[in-house]
Amino acid sequence: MAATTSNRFVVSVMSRDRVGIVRDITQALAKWQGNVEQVSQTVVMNYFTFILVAAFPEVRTVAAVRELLQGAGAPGELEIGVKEFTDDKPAVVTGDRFMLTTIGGDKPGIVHQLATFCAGKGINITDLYGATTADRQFIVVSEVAVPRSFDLTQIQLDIEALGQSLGIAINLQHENIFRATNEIAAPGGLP
Amino acid sequence: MLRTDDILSTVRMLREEQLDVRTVTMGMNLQECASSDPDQLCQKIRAKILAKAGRLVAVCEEVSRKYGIPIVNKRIAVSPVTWLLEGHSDESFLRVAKQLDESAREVGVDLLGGFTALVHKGMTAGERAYFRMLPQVLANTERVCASVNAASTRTGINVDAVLLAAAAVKQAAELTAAQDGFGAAKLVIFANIPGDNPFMAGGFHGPGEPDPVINIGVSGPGVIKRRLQQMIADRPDADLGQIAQQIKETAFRVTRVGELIGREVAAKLAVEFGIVDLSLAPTPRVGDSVGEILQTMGLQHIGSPGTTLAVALLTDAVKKGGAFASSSVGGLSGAFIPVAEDAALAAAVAAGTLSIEKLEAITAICSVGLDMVPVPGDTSVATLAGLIGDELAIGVMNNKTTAARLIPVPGKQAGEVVNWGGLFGSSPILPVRNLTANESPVTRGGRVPAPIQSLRN
Repeated sequence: MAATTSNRFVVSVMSRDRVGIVRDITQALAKWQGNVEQVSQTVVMNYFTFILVAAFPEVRTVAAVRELLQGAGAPGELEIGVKEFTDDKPAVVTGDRFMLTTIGGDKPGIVHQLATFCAGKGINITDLYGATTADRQFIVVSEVAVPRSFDLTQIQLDIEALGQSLGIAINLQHENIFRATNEIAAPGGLP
Repeated sequence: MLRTDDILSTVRMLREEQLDVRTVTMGMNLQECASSDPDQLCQKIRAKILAKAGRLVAVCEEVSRKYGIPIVNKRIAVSPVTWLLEGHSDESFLRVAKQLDESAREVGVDLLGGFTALVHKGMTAGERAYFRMLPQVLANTERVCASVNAASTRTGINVDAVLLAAAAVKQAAELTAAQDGFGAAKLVIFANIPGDNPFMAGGFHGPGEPDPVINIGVSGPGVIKRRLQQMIADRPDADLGQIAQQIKETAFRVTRVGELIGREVAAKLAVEFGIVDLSLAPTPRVGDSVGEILQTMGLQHIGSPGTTLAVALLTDAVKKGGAFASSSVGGLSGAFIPVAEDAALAAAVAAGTLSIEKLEAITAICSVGLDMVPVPGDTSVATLAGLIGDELAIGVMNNKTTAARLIPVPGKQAGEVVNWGGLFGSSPILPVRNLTANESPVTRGGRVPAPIQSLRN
């Protein structure tokens, strides 16, 4: 395969969490004057992961960027993914942002069932968080884009049916209800 | 950016704490329907209600689905029917009331307010006819709610109107004896009535209001009670300042939900958004009670010393949280203490800890007043007028709204239980001490002059 070259890359890093991973990665990027344009990091049960878009002043290859970042950790410590960045495509689905949340007893397949439901309806998951609480409840909080043309009544009925079949409570609510109840500024700004 | 904890907290308010919007009420002015021909008047009223409120219920359901928030009641408040019926025969009052009842049913709202007379200083011939017909209207309609403004801080107390209203209460109860006097439960007598109150039975569409307009009554007390319970479980030694803070924060969230829903319903109907009423309105359902909030705060017996202080803290904290959440606060905006509609208050009456006198004292610092208070069926008109007059005096002198919704339950005595079912609830009948046979200062009639605090210019 021909080596791809570019000066903007999407990079993902996964490893066991420790103090200093972000420092080590960004230090490696700095060697080539890399500029971080956007980054998001999370830790799941002591495992660290992040995704970033970085731009370099000079054209680089995917393999070279991977090698650069691999060197930021101890041998075998970091799982690195690198892709050339292209921003010419629109968002996968445009629509109103809703929160899809579930609370219920933990069992295998909840996330899969939710994701299958969304995929089947053409609803894109833009953010996802799931965890088991101290009382063995599994919660999922996901942000989804629901196309405006959708019949919300039907979706709500289908979600209720899905919740019943899984024995858990599933809620789909427009994000403004969460903004209204949790943020100082009223949604939509001043009336 | 929204945090996961915040999202889950809001979901829990909805799922576990009964967060809802208590009422979406469309206010409308019926002046354009005026006609000297009763048939035409009724046709125009029907046409206006169907045109403006025909989609109200459907739009509320649509918005409710979008946000996952139940909207419990959809209602209509109209401008005072007395404005339309000046110069009409007595029978026209009943005809118009029946038309309102029928139109409310047609558009699917459970209650319609505005069978109203504003008589705080004096009365017209039409308003005298109103009082003659009021008992029949209450007995022969299902959804129509009536209110009388018999006093205001600017004008004093129109005691003649208080006497007529007391007589109407008594007659309405007697005409509906088969339903334990339920007719009287749809009549509220006010001092300083607000024109944008979305709650029934006292809601009406006042002068100076936009037409039509959407007003919102926020969620009931269940959310606040559960938040307080959680907070006290986490911090058993929480003091009253911390309790007030928790109530304030919860009231902020609840008010925001109300405003969001109200603005969206108004936008979809292409009508103006009016106000959010911050009142904590209980329902007879266990867990949805103002009394239970007081108990959660540590009050062992509702009505015992400390009750008024607890209600004062609650009402004030709700207003502060709500006023910060929205710049469109209005209506009554205080805690309601409707005895029969609040299971814990009704239980306190049964236990003998809560009396009419204590309820009257609480009225000084909360809305509305002696609300949904069943009294013995043989309570005289003079006694009823005395009770109403006392309640209105508190409102007039303190520059606030107060009201009385008394139900003299025919054939029943103090201590016997009355059950109206549904939202109107159940309660033992409260004893009225020091009964007035036929005389009290109120029976002299006339007007209590406007208080000195009315002279503000």
